[in-house]
Amino acid sequence: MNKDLHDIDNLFKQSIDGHLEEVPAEVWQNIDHGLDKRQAAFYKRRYFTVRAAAILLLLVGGVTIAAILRYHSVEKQAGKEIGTAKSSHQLKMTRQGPGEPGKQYTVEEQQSTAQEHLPADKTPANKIIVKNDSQGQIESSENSTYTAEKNGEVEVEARKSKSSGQKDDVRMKPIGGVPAYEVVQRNEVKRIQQTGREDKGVKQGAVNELVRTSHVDTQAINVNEFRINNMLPEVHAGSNSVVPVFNNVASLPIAEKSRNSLGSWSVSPNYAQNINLNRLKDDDHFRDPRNNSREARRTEQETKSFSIGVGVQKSLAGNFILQSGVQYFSSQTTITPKMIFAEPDARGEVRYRFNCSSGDSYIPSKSGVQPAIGDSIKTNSSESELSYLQVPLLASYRISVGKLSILPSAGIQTNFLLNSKLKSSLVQPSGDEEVASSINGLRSIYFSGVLQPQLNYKFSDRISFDLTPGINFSLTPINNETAVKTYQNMFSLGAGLRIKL
Amino acid sequence: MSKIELKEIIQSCIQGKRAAQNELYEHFASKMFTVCLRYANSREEAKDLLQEGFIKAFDCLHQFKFEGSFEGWMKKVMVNNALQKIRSRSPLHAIVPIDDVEHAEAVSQQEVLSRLGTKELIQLIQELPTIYRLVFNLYVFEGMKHKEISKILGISEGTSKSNLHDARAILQKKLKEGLHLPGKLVANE
Repeated sequence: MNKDLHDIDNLFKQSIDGHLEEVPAEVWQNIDHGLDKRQAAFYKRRYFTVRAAAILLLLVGGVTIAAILRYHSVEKQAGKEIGTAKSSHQLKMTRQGPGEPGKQYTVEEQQSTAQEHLPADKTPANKIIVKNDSQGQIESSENSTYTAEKNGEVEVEARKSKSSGQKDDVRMKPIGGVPAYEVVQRNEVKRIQQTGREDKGVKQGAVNELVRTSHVDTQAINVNEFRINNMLPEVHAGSNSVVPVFNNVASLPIAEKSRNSLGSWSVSPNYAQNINLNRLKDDDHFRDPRNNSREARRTEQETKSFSIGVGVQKSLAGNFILQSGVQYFSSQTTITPKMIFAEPDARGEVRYRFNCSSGDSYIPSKSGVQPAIGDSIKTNSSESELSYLQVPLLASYRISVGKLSILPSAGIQTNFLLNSKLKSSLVQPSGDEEVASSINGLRSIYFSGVLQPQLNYKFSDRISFDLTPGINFSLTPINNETAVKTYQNMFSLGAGLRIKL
Repeated sequence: MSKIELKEIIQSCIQGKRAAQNELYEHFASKMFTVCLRYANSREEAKDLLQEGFIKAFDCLHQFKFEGSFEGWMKKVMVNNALQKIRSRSPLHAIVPIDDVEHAEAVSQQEVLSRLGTKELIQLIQELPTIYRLVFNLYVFEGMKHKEISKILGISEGTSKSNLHDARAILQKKLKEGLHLPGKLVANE
């Protein structure tokens, strides 16, 4: 080489090396500002997962609380309805009362009437409080109003006598510190049976009911459980206790009612197989001659993906349904063998850089030989794996045709990145070396739109089958600050069972 | 700054202490700015490179193992950052016709140094086409071989050699123009 040219090298090296150039003051200000921003971004990233989890928990908690509140309001409503005529259909102990329909009886009159119908040695333990009017209203002495279904049929209420002191009056038996209604039931049964015997007009069904009630009588009943299960008002010791006669029967419609309160909710475990139709777009800002969408399309052959999870549906007014849930999504992309080069990463460490449409990955070499910048190595077929936690939120409209329903659905889906991995094998002189590394440049969260014309076939009132073809399209790219932006679009076909709660 | 002091400052920087980061910056900024000036095509671009380089250095400071020279490590971060930035911004193709610079005449190195300051020399490097500037910097200042340069820049070894030759020739010509001397730069023996 020409000696003059070498002298040029020395001239510049000696003159410039070690030279201290004054730095403008604004550089540090910009660095300071940049560090602030990075610190903020760091904390943002660091607490993103916590925030996401907190939001999810709040959502789940909110829905649960709402469901519980609703359940209790239905309980209260059902409790009120026990006393109404509709509920008394199940509650009533029908007998042809001794009084005339439409006539008002005072407590004393009714007591005396009842006593007249009893054997002389049998004294009723409880007051029978009956007011039977022409509108079918039965009024208790405590102004609780009950509506009878039929005129002339009366509802009998066990009540602790205010003038107690009688031995077989209502007694409270403590069970584990909690009083029970054991004796109340027995007294009531006894009295009605007596009345039934006296009154020839008593219905056989009523007698049967009495027998069942007397069976309950033999069991110790925890007051709170009993009250809650049967939607009874709270009882305070020393006060008049009101116990419906046929609690076991009364509980039936309430239980049904309770179930109906959750009837608008359903869950559906499901599985979907996807066909990926990813859209790749070059980002000129991060242009890289070795990494572009054309190269990615050429080297990336096939992407397989599936999702599995549990959906939750809530029926709204009309035929509208709100759907959500949690799904695990996984996709694998096969990449053809290619040549990769060693480059310094953002931290200045020189490693082999593997570019793919999801991002880039700096592959650590296990052989212990640190590659120099620009070193190349060949890879065998590689595979990139991505997994996400998906939370969809869809609005659907049900169009029913017999047992079959079509539910056109649309909504958005939030995708939380769980894991990213690139598995490859480097062709080394000593043999292939399997390596795995994480993929850089992926967003921790991205959003997608969902369109699903769901098909639902009803097997029974509670169980139905869902067949869900759908389109899922990225609203935002899955990666950030990469030469190739990937929009994860896919066609999916899912199936699942929908269970009504 | 002693080695122990430097270690303490670096450790404080890793903990995110801004005062320590400022101290480290103040200590190395001038030297690193010169490095950035060599790779950039303007003073403005050099400021950007310096800024980004320092932020990257602070980000990965925990990777420094206290085994070699910290200044060397810092310089490497700056150079890598500059290469990454320049490569992503513009294609590395030479466009200068070589024939025009082949026959520049030699001038005395002493004369050059007496007439031209470091700033002017840096400016001459900045005026080189990007690919020439990168090859010249990597070969002359970073001491890399053509094989390494070719791999880093994604060019062939022959192209690297040719680019270096052209860069030198351009610089020689510009030196002559700068000095307004009718001679060729000759060895200062």
